[in-house]
Amino acid sequence: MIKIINNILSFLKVILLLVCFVFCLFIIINMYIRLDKNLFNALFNFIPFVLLFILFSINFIFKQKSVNRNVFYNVTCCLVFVMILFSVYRTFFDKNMIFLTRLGYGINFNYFADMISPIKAMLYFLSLSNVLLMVDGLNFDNKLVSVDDSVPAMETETKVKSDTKTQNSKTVKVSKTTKSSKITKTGKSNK
Amino acid sequence: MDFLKQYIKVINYSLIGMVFGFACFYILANAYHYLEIRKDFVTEFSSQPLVTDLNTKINTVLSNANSFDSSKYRGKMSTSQMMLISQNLKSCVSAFKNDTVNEMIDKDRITIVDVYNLRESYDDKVLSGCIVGSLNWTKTIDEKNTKSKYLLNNREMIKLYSNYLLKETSYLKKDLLNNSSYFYNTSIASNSVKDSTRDGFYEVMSSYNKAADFVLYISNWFKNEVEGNYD
Repeated sequence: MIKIINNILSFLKVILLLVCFVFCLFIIINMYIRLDKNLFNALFNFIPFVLLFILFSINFIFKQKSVNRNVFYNVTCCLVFVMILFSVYRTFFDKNMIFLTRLGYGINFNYFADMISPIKAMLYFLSLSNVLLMVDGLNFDNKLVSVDDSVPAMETETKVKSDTKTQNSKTVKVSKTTKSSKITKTGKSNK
Repeated sequence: MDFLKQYIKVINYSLIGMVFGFACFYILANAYHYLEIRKDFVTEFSSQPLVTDLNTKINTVLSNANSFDSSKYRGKMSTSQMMLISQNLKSCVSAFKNDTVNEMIDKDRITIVDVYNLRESYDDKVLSGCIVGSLNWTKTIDEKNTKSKYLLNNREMIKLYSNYLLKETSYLKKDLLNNSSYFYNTSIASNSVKDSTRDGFYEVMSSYNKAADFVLYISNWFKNEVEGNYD
């Protein structure tokens, strides 16, 4: 059940990101046009959106399960995008906010301007945590595994144990390799 | 490496938790703000005591203004001056019965936008149109332009009253505009102190009444002047 929900959320977050991006683009571009500001400066507001989209793309292309199967991260992403969409809805349709009718643009720039900073901050945080999840999912023990991944660990250890005391140093080395191979095996199975 | 990975995991989940908390907070705060500014004041506009008081005052002003008959006037003021004042009072009556107020008459639910519109019409029609436009002469009463002893004796008070109306802070209007901004109230403060729609309605109708009192005061003098009760 959780797996199904997680799969839905992991796709939903990308769709919501794109929807949020489109609406925010529309509002911010209109905001800058209204104030006769340089539109180039408006682009900086979209860096977190683009960054997060690139990271989501990497997650999907390389099938990074450490991110895609993280329920907490997916829920948080969806929650942030729902929050953005709610503020977008209020920017367009909450007519009880005086500035919406007062300005006469049909967009409450005054309200949305207050929301831009938290939105950007949260998207940057999500990007950072995405990168950290990717780092967390990386396997640093690959080199050790490649030495004797196919050799059964227990057999190697018993052979070495039966040797003389002078070969004790070897035992330590081999047992270390077997340990690491066990770890990586469990790591793989976790994935 | 495991040690480092554990650290990264702790930092990462703290970060996600923080974002989760922020997102929840912003959703809840937005929802609260959304509901708060949707509070309507359910009442019949025309049956409100402040509105009936205002109507009574305005009708009295109109009857006082209509009491002038140039052929019968024998007072110290010139007939042309009295005719002008009569016209000024009538234009003040139409300023009070402006379009916004007329639109409100049939309403039984007052929204925050209605309150804002009432405040706007008060500024534009009543203060600018009536107090500044039509009754500006009340601020320059002296021996040269009037012979009415009553006005001369009370000119300082009239000037103060007029200035009070004009300088009355429009904090309500600013407060209403601020409802588009993001600020947080505690629920206790909101329930006990703030109800922008209801309080704003009372505030703006009080302003209407204060201005109407001033016009009524001038119109009462005008009626007494017409009837020859002074001097």
